Amino acid sequence: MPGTEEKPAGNGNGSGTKKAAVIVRVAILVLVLLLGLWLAQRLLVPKYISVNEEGLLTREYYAAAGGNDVLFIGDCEVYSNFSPVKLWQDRGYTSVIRGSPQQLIWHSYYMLEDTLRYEKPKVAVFNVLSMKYGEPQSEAYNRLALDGMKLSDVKLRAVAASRTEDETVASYIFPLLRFHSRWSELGSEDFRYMFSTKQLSHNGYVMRLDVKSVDTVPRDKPLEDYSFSQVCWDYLDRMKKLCDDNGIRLILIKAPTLKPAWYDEWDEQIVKYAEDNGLSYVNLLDLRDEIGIDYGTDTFDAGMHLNLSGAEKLTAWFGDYLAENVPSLADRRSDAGMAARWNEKIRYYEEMRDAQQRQLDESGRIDSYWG
Amino acid sequence: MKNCFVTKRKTSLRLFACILLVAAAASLTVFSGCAGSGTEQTSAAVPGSTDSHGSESQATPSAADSFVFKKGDVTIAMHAPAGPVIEALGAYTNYYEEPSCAFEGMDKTYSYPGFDVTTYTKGGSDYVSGVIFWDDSVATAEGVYIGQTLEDIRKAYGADVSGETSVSLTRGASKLLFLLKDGAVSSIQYLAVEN
Repeated sequence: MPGTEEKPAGNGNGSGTKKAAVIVRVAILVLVLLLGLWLAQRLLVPKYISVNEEGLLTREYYAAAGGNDVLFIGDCEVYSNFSPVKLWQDRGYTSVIRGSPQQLIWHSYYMLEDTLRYEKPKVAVFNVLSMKYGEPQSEAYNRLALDGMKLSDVKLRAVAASRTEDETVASYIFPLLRFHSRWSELGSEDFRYMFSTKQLSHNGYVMRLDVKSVDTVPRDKPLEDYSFSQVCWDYLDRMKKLCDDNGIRLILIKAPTLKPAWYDEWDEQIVKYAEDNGLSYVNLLDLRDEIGIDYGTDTFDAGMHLNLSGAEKLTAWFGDYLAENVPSLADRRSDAGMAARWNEKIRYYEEMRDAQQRQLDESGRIDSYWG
Repeated sequence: MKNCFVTKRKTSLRLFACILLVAAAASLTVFSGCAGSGTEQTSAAVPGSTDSHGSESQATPSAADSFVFKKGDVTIAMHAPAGPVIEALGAYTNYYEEPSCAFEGMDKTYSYPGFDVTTYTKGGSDYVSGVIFWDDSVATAEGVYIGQTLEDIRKAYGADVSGETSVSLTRGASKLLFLLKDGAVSSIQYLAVEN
């Protein structure tokens, strides 16, 4: 009888052990599958090292987040033209740029929202060129702006607002869904930078030392309609409200680059909006002589973007403007912790500058940002 | 015990195999489900991806497919390969190239007396993206030039053409735009558009 009493108990233990073993095996299998998918994703997503390097910008923000008093938002007209390192060296202002190629105004709005998850700057500087685009231009610009954004409700809303017809929200959560067909294009770079990457920017600034002067600029073709799209005005309103709600001073700017065109008719609309909403608007194109920009030496692509020399001139001028117009900005160079952090940024800034200078000295051109 | 163990091991293996099959099927479903669109999307100049149209070249559109501008013996259609056009037009007075913010190639502007030709890059080759007139020394293939009136446009393109400040005509993947100021044509632009 005791035997018959023990038997069920013995069977129960054996069954439990077997179930546990099955569960462990299933768990291991699932983990192996997930690991495989993760590795495949790491391998297949674009690395942005030797092509479209600006694809690194959005993800690089998170290492620079925290303690920035000035936030620049916009397209290449901010990430090529303003140097946060120079602003720190001149004025002791902490700043960061959240830029991406052809960043559209809804990208910019969600960049601002995303930034507020990590820090609350005192000033947000928005470049208004993107007001000219009332609809998504291509998937590629969405990818450059949003693939690197950390997953959050802000990212999901940004993708929903930005995606073109063929894009899915899921592909921004699991990029493997989008890039799996890159297997036939894989190169050594994809393996080398599978788990690590290079740092392109200096708190969002993309450095170029080379010079391609402006010889001629084609006339701007007249447009059929100069009105900005209503969706752009709506996002500008939202950006202003978000800034107001968070006690951030919003400053509108137009960068001093000669191309693409910035029409007087567009400028008038921004001037009126700024007046109607109590905002500052600085058309830096009109101030290029005062800033001291020389389009013979201060641009690397014939007037579309400034090179390091031009960006440092513009930043020096803008630092003076901020000092005069935003007295709440503090010189933080006496903060030892902050100074140490920025000294490291200066070291990398000078390292990249020297690497590019070496390339120019040796070959007369820059083949890589990093040398 | 031995038989019992073998039976249990078979059960576990069957379960393991089933899970593998399900996972493989799911993966295949996910990938095959988007394989078609994925291939198309990859060709859409997404960063880090190669444009699959890279090795293809576009055929020259005919006058039936596109508005064309004629300069002497040279016929310029929108989306036509730019190389032969630029070569045939001869020396230009000015040249400007605009690199894209992010993507391959350049947007180029070639200036000639009275007009500019603009091009875009696709798959490593340049194609005509537009022609813009700057003065009345050039006319459309149908004979309209800067300074003429809406009535002249109607005579050339049909009585149903209308517009107060602009007239926009579409043919295939091209657009012909006339801007009007004080009743006169102030700008004429050929534009390549998506078909």
